[in-house]
Amino acid sequence: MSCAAFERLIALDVGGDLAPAEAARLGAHLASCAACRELAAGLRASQDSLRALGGEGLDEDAVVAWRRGLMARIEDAQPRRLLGWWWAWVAAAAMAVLVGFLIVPQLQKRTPPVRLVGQAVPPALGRPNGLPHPPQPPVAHRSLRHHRAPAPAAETLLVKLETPDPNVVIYWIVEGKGN
Amino acid sequence: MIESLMAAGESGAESAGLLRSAKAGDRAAFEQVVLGHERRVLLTALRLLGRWEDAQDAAQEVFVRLHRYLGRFDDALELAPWLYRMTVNVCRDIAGKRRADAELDPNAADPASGPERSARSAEERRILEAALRRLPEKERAALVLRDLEGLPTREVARILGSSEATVRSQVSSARLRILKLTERYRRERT
Repeated sequence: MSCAAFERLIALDVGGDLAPAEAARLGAHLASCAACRELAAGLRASQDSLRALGGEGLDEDAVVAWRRGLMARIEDAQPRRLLGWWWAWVAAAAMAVLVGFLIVPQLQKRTPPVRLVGQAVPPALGRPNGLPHPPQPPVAHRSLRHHRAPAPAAETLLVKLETPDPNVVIYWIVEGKGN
Repeated sequence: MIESLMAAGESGAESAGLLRSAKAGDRAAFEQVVLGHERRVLLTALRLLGRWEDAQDAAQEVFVRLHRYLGRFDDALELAPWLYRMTVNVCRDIAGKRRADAELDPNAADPASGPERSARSAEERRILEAALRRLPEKERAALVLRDLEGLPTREVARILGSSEATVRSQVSSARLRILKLTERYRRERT
């Protein structure tokens, strides 16, 4: 093992970070290597300086001033945080109201309630043999969605759909294809 | 171990009680928690950043975050490792925003005190701090926690989120670099 490889072990040894087996191996090398002993001495002195630096305290006045600043900052942050939450709630409520105003009328326009109000069969669309159509059961006031015209085969229904807008009336001609 | 290093005259039970009171909104209890850990946080930040002004900012940020997350802080966790971890993270953020090649200001206010302060020359101290600042970020964090804070390697690994082998490698490399840098700075100044 070269001296360069022992450098790392020496650096660990000065901090007491070597396992006993490694420390023994290093000890044997140091006994025979003046350059590594010199390095070890330098590292120990450097280590002492570092520990001394770590052992230093802080000026009491500086710490007290710092703590005062910290507590003031924490004190200041409290009302701001509460205010922040208050504003967040107000903003959320305002957004909900806005969405309500914008979306609900759109939905109402898009899905007009449709009422099936009645049926009529034009005379011209009668049966080919000239006989009148048999009487049809009324289907008025049934929802379009559930509409299943119970018309007999080859019959035609005229369905009138009323919308909330009185100017809009939809006529729907339904032709049966027969059984 | 860490609690004994960090808490200034406070037992673990006292510290836990203060933390519980602080969580309940007791401002005075929170201030006591700060008192028990402030010096370690400030000194660690100072060693990591090299500037007292930056260290103050970092330490404030650490305790502000503690205060913010206090309600969610798990009572089973030790506060000291959490504070060290947060200090390292906050210092990393601050160092990232700062100019990487910024030199230490020799006229900057120096808050360090203690018996060693008078014994060692200001020049030697500046050399050591300048060398610390020249270390790669991860090596510096490992060295500060291991050698200046005196934490065991296992604890340093836990705080830094790495393995013990990695920490040993970083510490070893950092010690060698510090030696070479301080020798070079001394030669340059003579």
